Amino acid sequence: MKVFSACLKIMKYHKSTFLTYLIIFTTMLLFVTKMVGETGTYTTFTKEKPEYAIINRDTDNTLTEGIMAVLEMQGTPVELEDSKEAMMDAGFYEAAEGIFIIPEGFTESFWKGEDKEIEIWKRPSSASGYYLESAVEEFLSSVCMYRELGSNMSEEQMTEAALSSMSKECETQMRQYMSGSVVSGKIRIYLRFLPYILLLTCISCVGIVFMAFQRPEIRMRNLCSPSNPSHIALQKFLYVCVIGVADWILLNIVGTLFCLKEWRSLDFRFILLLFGNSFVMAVVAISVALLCSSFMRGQNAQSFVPNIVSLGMCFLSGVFVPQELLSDKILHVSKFIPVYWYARNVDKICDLTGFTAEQLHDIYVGIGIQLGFAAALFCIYLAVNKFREREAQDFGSAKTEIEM
Amino acid sequence: MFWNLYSKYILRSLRSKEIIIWTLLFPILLSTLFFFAFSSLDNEGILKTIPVAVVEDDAYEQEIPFGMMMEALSEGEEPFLEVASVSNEKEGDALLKDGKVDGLIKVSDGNPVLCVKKDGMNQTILKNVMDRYIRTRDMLVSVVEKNPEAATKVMTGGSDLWTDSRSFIKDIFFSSSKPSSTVTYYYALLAMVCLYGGFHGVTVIESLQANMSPQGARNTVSPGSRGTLFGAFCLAALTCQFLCVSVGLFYIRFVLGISFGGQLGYALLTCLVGSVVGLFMGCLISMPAKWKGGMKIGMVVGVSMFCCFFAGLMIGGVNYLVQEKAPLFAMINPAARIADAFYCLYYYDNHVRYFRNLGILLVMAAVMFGISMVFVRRKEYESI
Repeated sequence: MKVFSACLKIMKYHKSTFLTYLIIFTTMLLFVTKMVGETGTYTTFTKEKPEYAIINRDTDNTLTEGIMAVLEMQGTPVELEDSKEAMMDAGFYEAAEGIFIIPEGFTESFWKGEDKEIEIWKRPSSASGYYLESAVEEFLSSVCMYRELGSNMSEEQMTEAALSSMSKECETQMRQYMSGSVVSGKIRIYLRFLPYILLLTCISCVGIVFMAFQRPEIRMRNLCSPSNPSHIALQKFLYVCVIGVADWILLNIVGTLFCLKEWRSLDFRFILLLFGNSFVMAVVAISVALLCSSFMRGQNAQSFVPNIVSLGMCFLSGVFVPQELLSDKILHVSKFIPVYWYARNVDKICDLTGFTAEQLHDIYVGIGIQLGFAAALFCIYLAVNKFREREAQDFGSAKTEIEM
Repeated sequence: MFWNLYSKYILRSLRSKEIIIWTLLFPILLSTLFFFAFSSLDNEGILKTIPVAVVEDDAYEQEIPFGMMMEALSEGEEPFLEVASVSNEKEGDALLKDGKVDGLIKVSDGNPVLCVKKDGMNQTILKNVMDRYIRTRDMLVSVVEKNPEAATKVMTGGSDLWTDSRSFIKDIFFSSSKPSSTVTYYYALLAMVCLYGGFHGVTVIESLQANMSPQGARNTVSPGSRGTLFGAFCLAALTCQFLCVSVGLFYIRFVLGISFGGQLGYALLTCLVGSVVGLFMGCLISMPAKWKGGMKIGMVVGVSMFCCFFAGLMIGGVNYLVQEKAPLFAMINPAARIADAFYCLYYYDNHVRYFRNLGILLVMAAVMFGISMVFVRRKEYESI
């Protein structure tokens, strides 16, 4: 196991690089999981409460207070100062889905039946903006209806009656098709982002170590050593497998500890499927890392290739952006990238409503395609290496950190 | 002398694979990936037709106004609802389970009941429609019960309640440009490339300090003054850096079609000022003689990424959050200021905030330049 030990020694020499990668990117992953992943259990229906801001330039009275109360029932208020810059920024960065401005003299104009209107800024065709706007419209229409039909009511009574009518709601039933808890948003986000770190760390670890073996004097020394070339290759392959599996175990331990509560409440079949899918992704990462190591020459490639390959695969496959938001043309191309099938499987497993053979069929197909990609990439790696070994000029083309 | 040094440094930079990869190739590739991945991001959250299953049983048939409302909502070229009529709840449940509809509506005891599989905006809007129906119906009933004359008034056309199409709310727009969730990623990316000018800064300082590199030792004993050397190297580094950022900017603008508010000249000015900040940031990082070259490059990358993360490169909107919660940090974050300058060009109709950003960046550059000068000038070496 000399070669295997040598691989570990080289890795130990570069341990600061690997640890930096692992710590920085795992921290980022946990940060994203915490920020983006919701922890809903879906046992009772909870209304979406989009953020809104309200600027009242009119006097405080029952009507304006009624508008504010209605909005508070439907959304989440955001404090905003009455300046165009603050409103522009809050709208652009989606801090507020709707910004309402009650103009001066609105209440007086409303009771007189004049045309003064509340102003709203919302994103064009925004569903949340429409929702908030329709709530205010409904409230003001109700007040108008009371004014028209409830002849003996005062302005305060009309406003209060309209406000109290807004609290009536229809019965909403939450349908649960699984006996246990469903997969939480946190687990889904963590697993969706996992291939990025798996790919990045695997390609880096394998690339840096294999580059050292490509130094001409090392290759010549190895070729004239009593070790069989196939044994050397086997030990190198063993190192790659150990790296891939260790990376997978480490990342899953971190992820499990981070979402321990969610994992514990999950049906064991979900756990098996999710871990199985991520393990197959680790196998794919090993194959990609092996293939990339064949093309890495020089110090610059050490950092450039892992970044570009992992970012490229993940951006195009629906890791950073959900697949439903990718255009159809991109999705057609993505099908030729193994990460696409991984991300698709994560979504399919999280949305499972049962474990019948029919429901699991697509997931098994996804796993099979990932394994097929892994095998194909490994074959290409073997072919490339075989081809390279025949090239005499290849000996002089490797530059390593020692020569730089 | 000056131009000789200037041209030599440019040649050296153009031959540096590291600089070309990170300041030219990497941003072009990353922006292309952004383009493919974010092409539909602006369509997220827009109001689309909501698929819904309706159980059309006896109870539904009896609630005539509700049926009329559902019919009205599912009519037109772009209807509000896409209604799948089912004869019983089991059929509707199957559609809901398979995710083919966002909600299942049935009528029970004269009231509509909404069944959903998960929370979401579409489900909330569906609930709002049902709520609104119940409220309007109950309100009419209660008013008519309390005031029967009103019913007569409405029925005989004495009221304009049904004909009055008065709207209480009007839309306003703050800017001529549409708000976009994607452009800020490109702006933060350009900010990153500007700060990668730090690679040049490291090279410039290493080329001037005898205890840092053989080139530094050679340059120190050359007849050129320290000022001439520093000026020529900085100007050459800035030329190369500005050239690379400009290529990235033109690529993003003309190949990917990302808008800079139609103000390309100002966008180039932002790149220039951003490059100056990046260059002097690199000079400052390169000061400690004990740090090796790799460590300094790592620091440039680390500081740039840290700044860019809070400028919204990885998660959109983080810059706004920082601006609100920690305005001082946002102000001294060069990447946030560069990205914000691009944002002002895109979204603002005036240049007040844009020039404020540029002013802050120039002050940052001046401070970093000043500190670098203190360490570089009149340095003598007892031993290297």
